[in-house]
Amino acid sequence: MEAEDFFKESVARLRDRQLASYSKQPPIHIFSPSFEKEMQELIAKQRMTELGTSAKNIWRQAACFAFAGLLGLSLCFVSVGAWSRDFLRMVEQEGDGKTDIRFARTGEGTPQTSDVQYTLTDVPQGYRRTGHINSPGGAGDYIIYENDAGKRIIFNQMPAEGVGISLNTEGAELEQIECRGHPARFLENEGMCSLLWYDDRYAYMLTTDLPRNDTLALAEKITLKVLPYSTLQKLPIELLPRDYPPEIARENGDVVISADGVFHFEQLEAFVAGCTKKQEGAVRIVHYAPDNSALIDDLQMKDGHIYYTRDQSRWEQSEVSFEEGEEYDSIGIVTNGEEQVLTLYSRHYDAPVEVVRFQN
Amino acid sequence: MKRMAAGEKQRQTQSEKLEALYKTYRHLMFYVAYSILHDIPTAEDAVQQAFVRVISHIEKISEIDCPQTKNFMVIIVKNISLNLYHSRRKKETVSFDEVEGWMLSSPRDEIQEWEDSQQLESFMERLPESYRDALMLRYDNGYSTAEIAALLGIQEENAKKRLQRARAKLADMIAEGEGVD
Repeated sequence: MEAEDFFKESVARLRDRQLASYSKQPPIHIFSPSFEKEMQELIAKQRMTELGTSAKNIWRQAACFAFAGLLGLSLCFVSVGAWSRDFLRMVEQEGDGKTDIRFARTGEGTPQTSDVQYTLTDVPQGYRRTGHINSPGGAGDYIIYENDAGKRIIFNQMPAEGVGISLNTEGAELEQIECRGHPARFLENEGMCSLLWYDDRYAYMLTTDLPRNDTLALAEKITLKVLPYSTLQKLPIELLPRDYPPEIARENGDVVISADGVFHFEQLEAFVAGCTKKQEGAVRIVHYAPDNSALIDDLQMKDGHIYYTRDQSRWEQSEVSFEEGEEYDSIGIVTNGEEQVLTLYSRHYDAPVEVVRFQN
Repeated sequence: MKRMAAGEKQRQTQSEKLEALYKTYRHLMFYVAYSILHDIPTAEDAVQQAFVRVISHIEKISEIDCPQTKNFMVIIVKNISLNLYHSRRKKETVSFDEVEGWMLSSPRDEIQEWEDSQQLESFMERLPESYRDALMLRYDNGYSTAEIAALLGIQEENAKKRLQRARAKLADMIAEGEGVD
């Protein structure tokens, strides 16, 4: 045996002996909100880095690379082209091989668009959703669709104010058009298309490597919808609108924990009872902070396992969606003094995981 | 904890790995950090610094829930916690690389000929902890000396010395047939 392999074998055994001292499950530590927030930002930053890297890889010729982010634009930002529209206007500045776009208030009117999320629902055949990054305080909502050939469609919805967009316009022309009745810009460069439009609240960017007409059709005819509240029930957690007030959650049949009390608790009890029989089902629990921002938990029993997903992107201490998507073996409601605790159990963890507490 | 099906592993991004590491090991890492620091905020700082340090080397982590990765995370947070502990107490960290009298000779042939790996393992347990950690990062996790230096927050030259001296001390133990204090 080579010395190297010999060492590896011995080191591996040493490692196992040392790890044996950690065999007991350490106490579950409740991390501080600031720690959780910083960790979520760290993970989100890594996701954003990957998205930027991934986009660069796709368009490795750098012929058309569009990204949205917070730009520290100075007050001496010169408006080269401006197209006024009601509450906001698009301001462009041409630079060295690029065009920077931001949105400024016209000083007229008031925003009419409500706080809703758009989504692509009729993507071309063969495309499937492969990524979703939600950063409501920053670059907004990215949804990524891919097909087996590696072709991508990226849809980005972002708050228009405070965001800057930089388009690589070297060797290409930024075309003024209309999209969905809104002012828009279209850029086509070496087979890649970027379509940018805005209303009085959001800017929207559709980036594809589809042909021009297909890209325009995707935006105009096929895909974008406002999600009416009546369709919110049972929607995937990531498609719920930013604004999800308690009265809407109660209408949708969610289990609601708010300052006004606990609603539809019987649905949770029914779900837990069904889980003991491995009956497939689902329940959504929405906790509200005093400012009515929502923490949303989805539980689903499927194929004998319980899947738990949490979206805390609406809580002010969290800027990024943190969907856990973890799998558990069983669930129970444990009485602890004056509280009842919804608890998940997994054979992989010695300690149970608490989902939510209810006052009796 | 089943994190991903086997067929999905190759598609795990680094952010997904980071998230999985965080969910799997955060409590253990806090436990290790707190056992050294005995202060909750500082222990949380140590855990966070550990994840920041891990990000730079996350591509080498192929499996989240395995002994190598678990030990790796423990080593990183332990190292950071010890540095925080010493800096809080305003004492200089004792560097084994600077203490005179350590053997500097290169690994001897006795190691190559030694067949009783259990004995070798027991000798390894007697090494200073910093040497053991360097050995595990090198031979269990497969990191280079440059990577080990970055992970432990030391100069690359010191990382090389730790590995050399670890092997040299093991050779001496084997030759002498006894441990050293």
